Amino acid sequence: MIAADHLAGLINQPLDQVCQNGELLAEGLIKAKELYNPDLLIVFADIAVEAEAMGVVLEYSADRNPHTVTYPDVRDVKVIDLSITGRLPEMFKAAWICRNSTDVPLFISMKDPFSLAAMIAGSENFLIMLLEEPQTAHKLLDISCESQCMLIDRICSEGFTPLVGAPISSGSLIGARWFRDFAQSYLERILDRINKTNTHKCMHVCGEVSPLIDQLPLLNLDLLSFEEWYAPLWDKMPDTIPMGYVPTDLFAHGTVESVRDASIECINTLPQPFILSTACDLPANADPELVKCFMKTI
Amino acid sequence: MKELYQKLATAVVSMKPREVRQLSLQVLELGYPPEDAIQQGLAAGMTEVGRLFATKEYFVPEVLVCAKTMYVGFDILKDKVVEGKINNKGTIVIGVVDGDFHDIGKNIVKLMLEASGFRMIDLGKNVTLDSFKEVVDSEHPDIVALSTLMTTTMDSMEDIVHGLSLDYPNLRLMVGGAPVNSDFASSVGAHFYGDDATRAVEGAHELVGISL
Repeated sequence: MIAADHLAGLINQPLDQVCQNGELLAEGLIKAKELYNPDLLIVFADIAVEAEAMGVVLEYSADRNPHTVTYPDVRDVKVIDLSITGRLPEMFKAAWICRNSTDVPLFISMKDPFSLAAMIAGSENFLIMLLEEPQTAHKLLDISCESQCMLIDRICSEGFTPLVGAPISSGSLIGARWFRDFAQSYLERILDRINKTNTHKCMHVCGEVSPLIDQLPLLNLDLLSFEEWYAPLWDKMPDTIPMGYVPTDLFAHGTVESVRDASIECINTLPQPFILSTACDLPANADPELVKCFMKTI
Repeated sequence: MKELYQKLATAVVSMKPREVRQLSLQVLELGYPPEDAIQQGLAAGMTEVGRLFATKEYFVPEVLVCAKTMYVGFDILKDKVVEGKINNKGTIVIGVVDGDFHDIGKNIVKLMLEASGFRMIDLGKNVTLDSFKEVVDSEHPDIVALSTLMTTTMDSMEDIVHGLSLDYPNLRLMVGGAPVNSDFASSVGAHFYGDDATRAVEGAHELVGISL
């Protein structure tokens, strides 16, 4: 998994340009394909693309991922067609350019409704809202979910696959109870929408998956990308392809040996069939030689 | 007295701000030492919250609401405390390192340290080495605590640890955050790595030589 911050370095362009411009993002992805030769590409600028389209104001910088400077009033947030708003059209442009230049499957990154709602309201505000104003939280989740369904329709109708990222509805942050009460049903809604288009249901969960051992199997995923290896989970998900989980910090601070050892450990641990991948997105400053070493291990 | 402090602790853990407010006012009405109510009531409650977080009975939503609940009492009691009777275990400057804007983890660690009796100076997120130095020069803290959520900004953390170690050899440095581990902490020269807020509290006490 590679986001715009690493791609910007590969093509020597400022990050604020790459993450806002579909042509540059595609140029980075195509460069990554040439250098690393992955089996699939994920169009992924940064985690705030949809939140920005729904009213969050970001500040861009040449060498850092965009960060939020203003959150909208959650009472003003409305259902919108995400596929034509904000930077999403640029993501589609990047996907089309990649399709015309490469022959690998193309995924487009999007967030799950819980993570999107949290990014719109501000993570701390939203997590407090779960206890103090659950109705408001559900309303925002519903709006996020509806907006994302329109995005899913467009991604799937154009023949791409959505990769649903869950950075905040992570087991580490919210555990089973909050996931069950505030994340699960909305995830099921967007996964059903994906399923109706006969597209694979693919998801990435940041952080720990072990607290979600009873919840994740209920999603009937085709593919789950993850950071934490937790064997009992995979006993309960025999039909889901695991994708992971080489620690990303190794690509910035490790050695050829440490990357190779970690990759071999993953290969030996993951149940077949699997996709060997970085645990999350590559660090901006990942050493391309270490990424090549990882690819050669396969 | 102890029963009242115990009720305060329980009200924090069970996220009942109205009860905390009522009990805190009762502490003042009865003339009990507010610093004891803070330490043995509110802080004890947050210590229990930290334990529940460590054992995965509570997650971040509960911790944030417990913290809000604790501050209802803290705001009532703190003005009545005789100077030097609370937050006297040492001064800690805390911040998320340059380039990183994720501060939930830092905020939880900060409130746990504050509840356990440290004076906290929170520099927020995206804090540069120069900003840390400026505050170290003016506030002379015992510890600087650095946090990052992103692998990308571990280099920033390393630079800040090196910069502070060079200029302030007696300053104790602790680090934490999702991508950080004890190997990384040792390799950059930090004095302590905490993998959660509870360990951060234990580590801060170790660094200032106080037994828990």
